[in-house]
Amino acid sequence: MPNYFNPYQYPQNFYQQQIPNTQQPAQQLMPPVPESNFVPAPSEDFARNYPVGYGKSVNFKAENAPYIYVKTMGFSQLDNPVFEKYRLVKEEPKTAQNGSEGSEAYKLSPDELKREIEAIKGQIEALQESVKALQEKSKVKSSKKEVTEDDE
Amino acid sequence: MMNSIFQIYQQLRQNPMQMLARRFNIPSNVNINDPNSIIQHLINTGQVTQQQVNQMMTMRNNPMIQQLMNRR
Repeated sequence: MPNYFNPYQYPQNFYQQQIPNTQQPAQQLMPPVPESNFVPAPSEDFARNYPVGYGKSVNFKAENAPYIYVKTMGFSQLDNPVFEKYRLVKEEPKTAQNGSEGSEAYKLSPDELKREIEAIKGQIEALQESVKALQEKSKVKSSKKEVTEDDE
Repeated sequence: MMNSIFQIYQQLRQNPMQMLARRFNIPSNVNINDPNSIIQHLINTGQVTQQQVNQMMTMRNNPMIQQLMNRR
């Protein structure tokens, strides 16, 4: 029998096209769960009794307290699990005034400051004198060289 | 066929935890009534990963997930 084109026939892949559409609503039902490195812990006992695999470590963030727990398991049953507790401390931002108070210059009294400045002045003068002496020495050497070259 | 299904149903109704223990090969020394010890056994035997456990524990506290579970 010859194979004529039938306009009323369904396309061969008609049912295959319908299958993916039925699965879409099920995927939309599940809300996206944010991936986090910290497991929320309602209490410290929850973190202590939390199941952790051998050689693994899990971080916890306490829900009602400023603490972070870390539970680490050894590589075998013989190793005891290590439980660490860290307290979170709020750090205040440093203002400009706080910065000047923290410097050593602000802590010194005016008399002490004067003494320090005088000492620094003396050191600078001594340095200037030594530089002058070096310059004079180099001048003398260069003049001696010129004299010997002229003699030759 | 119907008898075997009925038997399985009866067992599941009488002792669901024992059925689950048999399904996941949980030995008798593991306390079936303690979820943490079951999860610990599943991790140790490699039936679940640490990441899967962490995700499950995080999802359990998610209010949206809790709402979905209560709806069913």
